[in-house]
Amino acid sequence: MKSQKMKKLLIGFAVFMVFMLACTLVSKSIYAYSLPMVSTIVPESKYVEHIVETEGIIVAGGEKPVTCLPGLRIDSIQVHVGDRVEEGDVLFRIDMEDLEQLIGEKREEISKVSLNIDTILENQEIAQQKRDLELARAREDYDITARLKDTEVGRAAENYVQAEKDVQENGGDEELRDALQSAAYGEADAKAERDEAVKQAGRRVEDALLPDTAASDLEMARLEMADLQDSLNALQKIKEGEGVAAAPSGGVVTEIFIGVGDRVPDTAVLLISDESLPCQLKVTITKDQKKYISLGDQVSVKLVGKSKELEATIDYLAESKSVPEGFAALINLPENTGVPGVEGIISRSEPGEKYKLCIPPTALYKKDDRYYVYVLKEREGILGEEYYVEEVNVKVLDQNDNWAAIEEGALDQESRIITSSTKEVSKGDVVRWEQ
Amino acid sequence: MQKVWKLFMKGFIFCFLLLLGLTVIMPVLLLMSGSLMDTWELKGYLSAVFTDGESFIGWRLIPEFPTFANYGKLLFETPQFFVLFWNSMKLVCGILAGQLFIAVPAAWAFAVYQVKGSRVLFALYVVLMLLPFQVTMLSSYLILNELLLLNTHKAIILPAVFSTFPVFLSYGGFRSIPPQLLEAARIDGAGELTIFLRLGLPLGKSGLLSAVVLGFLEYWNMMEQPMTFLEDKSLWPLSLYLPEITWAQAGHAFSASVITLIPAVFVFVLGQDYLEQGIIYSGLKE
Amino acid sequence: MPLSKSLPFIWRNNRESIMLKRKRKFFCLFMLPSFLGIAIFVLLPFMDVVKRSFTTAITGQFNGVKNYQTIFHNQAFRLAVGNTLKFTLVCIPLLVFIGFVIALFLSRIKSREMMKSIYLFPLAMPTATIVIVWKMIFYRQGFLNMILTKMGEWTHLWSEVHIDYLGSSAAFWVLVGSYIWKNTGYTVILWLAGLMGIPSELLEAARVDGAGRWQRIRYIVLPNLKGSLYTIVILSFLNSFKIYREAYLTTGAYPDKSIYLLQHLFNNWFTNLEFDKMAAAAVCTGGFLMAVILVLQALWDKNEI
Repeated sequence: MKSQKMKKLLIGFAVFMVFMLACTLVSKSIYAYSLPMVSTIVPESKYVEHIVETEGIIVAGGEKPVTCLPGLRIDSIQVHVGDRVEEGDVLFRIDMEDLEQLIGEKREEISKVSLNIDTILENQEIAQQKRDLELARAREDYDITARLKDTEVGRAAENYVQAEKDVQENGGDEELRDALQSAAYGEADAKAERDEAVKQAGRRVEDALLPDTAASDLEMARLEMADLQDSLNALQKIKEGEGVAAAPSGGVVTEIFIGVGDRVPDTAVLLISDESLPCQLKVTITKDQKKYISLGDQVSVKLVGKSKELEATIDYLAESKSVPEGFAALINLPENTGVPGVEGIISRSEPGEKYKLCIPPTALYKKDDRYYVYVLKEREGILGEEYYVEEVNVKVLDQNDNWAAIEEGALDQESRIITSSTKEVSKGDVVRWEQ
Repeated sequence: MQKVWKLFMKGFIFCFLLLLGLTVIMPVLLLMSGSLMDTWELKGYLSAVFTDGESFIGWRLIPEFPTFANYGKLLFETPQFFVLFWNSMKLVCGILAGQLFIAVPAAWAFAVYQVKGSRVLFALYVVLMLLPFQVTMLSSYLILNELLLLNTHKAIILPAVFSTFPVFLSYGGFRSIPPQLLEAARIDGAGELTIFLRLGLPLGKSGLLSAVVLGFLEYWNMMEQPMTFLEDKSLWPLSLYLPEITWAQAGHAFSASVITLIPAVFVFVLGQDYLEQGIIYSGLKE
Repeated sequence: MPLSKSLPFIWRNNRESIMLKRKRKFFCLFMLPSFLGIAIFVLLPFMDVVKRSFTTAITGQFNGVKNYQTIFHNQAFRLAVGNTLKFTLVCIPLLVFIGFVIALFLSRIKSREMMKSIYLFPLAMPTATIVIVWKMIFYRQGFLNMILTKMGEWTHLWSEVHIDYLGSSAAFWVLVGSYIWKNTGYTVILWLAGLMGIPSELLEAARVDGAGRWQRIRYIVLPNLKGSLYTIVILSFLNSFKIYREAYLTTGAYPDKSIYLLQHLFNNWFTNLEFDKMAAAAVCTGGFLMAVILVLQALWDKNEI
């Protein structure tokens, strides 16, 4: 019985060992399978070149407005934005019926004003007559007043003389003295009155002499008349031209401000490019690109439709109003090159410096403010040599789409930078290396 | 009356011993229950140990949410454990095999051939057996370095093979063989070697096996030598794996402990009888 | 008829000397592998250690007995020696006694086998494993404190218990406990074997003669167990040194003062490259052990006869 038990135990032990063996193999494969596989590169020495390439569109160097008499109604517009017109080309037509109507209206107004003027003139006549009458009357009054008052003064003087005589004769009688005094006063009064009355009458005469208030009404009416006449003439002219508006010079229509049926506004109806000024290529540059391009830099321009590239310079560079964080740049094209509306590409490459350690930007990671890469390192583990991942902080000196230049020190030319892995890795992880 | 008293005493003794036994076994039960708990349960119980608070460690003998996850992870996803496991196996088997070839003949010599000075030599052997490792640590290190054995398994196996402990145990087993038997065999014309192989070994089996069992238990556990002489972690035995596990992975530690236990338990159970006999023989009259 | 008797006298002597020679030859033969190995891996290093004990650590100049003087004045050395001795002197008697008592009890029970297995189990457990459990029990918030606190609550005798066993002088008793836990089984087996080995007729005769239980134990059982005692003491001694492993794993290289053992000291000297002190102490330890063993052997031999 004991040996039975012994046998059982021995078998059990053997089973255990076999199980251990099996687990050894299983665990090895599961473990290896669960390890991420990474591939690495070594940093290379490269030039970090910066190429700025961006598309733009040709815009006119300048523009000229084409205006028309405001208020006219557009019958049809013969051109579109971007159309090239020559001097004399029909741009748009004015509605003739409407024009007739306007002319008619104008005429009416003119007659109205004319009548107005007549009325004013008549009124003026009447006013003048009135004034004359008033003047005559005022003069008359003056004369009369003067005479009357003079008489009174005379009387008052006589009174006084009399009173003086009385006093002289009758000697200091109070009544007489009073009478003398009042006679003196009376004379003075009479004189004052006379002066006053004369003054007043004189003033009235002066008033009557004053000219009439400025007759600006007439002037205004006359001016209005002249205006209306001008307008009428203009309208007539248009009528003669059959309502056609022609291009004043050759160019490309850049903007049309009205539509068919609208009335011509005070501002321009449409804009035509000014061919006397050279065209410009307008591009938008992003903030990143701005680092490598500045005012005055030479760029090469490739216009659509033209096979040859040409060299030009950036003539204008400022913050863009339409694109946030962007910059607008204008490049003057040589004379007679380019038609507004056509696309073009500018490019400029700046060779940059040669850096000893450059890695693909995909291997570079950023967290908060620092950059780091994952480096493959070896160490002795229990299972033998194993590879593990180490996180190394690096300083980026320069970067473009293909390469990022790293400062020496944290890495060297033999560091194995991890560029790809089958699973996400983090620092300290054990990995397998694909060579 | 006497009989009742005797029965009572017997019962009392039985219970007492059983209780004692349970206390003795308790650690094992703790381990096993712990290995079946998942991380959260363990954290709940053990967190008291880490925080410097006033609460106590908790435990349940039967886990609330038993799981085999710890074993799964250990057995199927940690090849490192197995590397160490087979290291231990290799070391122990190597040592035991070597000891059989080296120590057994020496024990035979002591037991059978009473020569002048064998007493003193035996005493020396006993002293060597008792010397703690630390005493000769440095010199062993230097010798092994000279022999270019450092950082290999041989550095552990070779010195252990020449340990005197199995000599001591096997000696007991051989001592129990009646000398007359041997004399008779000699007279019959058997050579010494034959006597050793045909008579000595079978009869002294218990002594040998007890040396094997105790040796296994001893070397399955050894710590000082690997720590000092083995630098590569890939050469380490299993006994050094457990101290490396932190409390945070307590479940892992428990399951690893249980697995480490199993071979020892097997050997122990298999050899218990021999163990006992061997111990007994080593104790009987010299 | 044995050959030796049929030969004349001188030939008998010769025969004996031949026998002796033969014995010696085979002794050496069988011993050789073991002895050679020991010479290389143990004695040679030890010679080197002895040499070192007379030189300085790094430069290797001859130093006379200065190293020995140093260590005897070294506080750490005295502490370690004291602790180790204390531990040994406490543990071994304790273990022997406990083992004996349990063995006595066991000898009366029928279901011995199962019990024995249970008690032997701790021997099979790997140290690192045990350490984890000890930590769980003896930490400040460990099981022991928890149980004690609960007991205190029940009996209203004391309040929460929070002794840090591992970090205070209680650590000594923790180690003693661990030692006893591990080695009791071993000891019990040995005692049992010894007990079983006493011829039962002797006991019967004594009982018939009227000797009581205690008298029987004192006069018959104990004297017959002297052999077992020798082995048990030696093995316990051996195992008491092994307790260093548990100590190191639970409390590290610089534990509480009460459990700072010789091995801790050696370990620390080794890591600090203080080889001269190590060598001197090693020689002392070896010498001391040798002396103890020889004394024990002599004592035992005397009893034998």
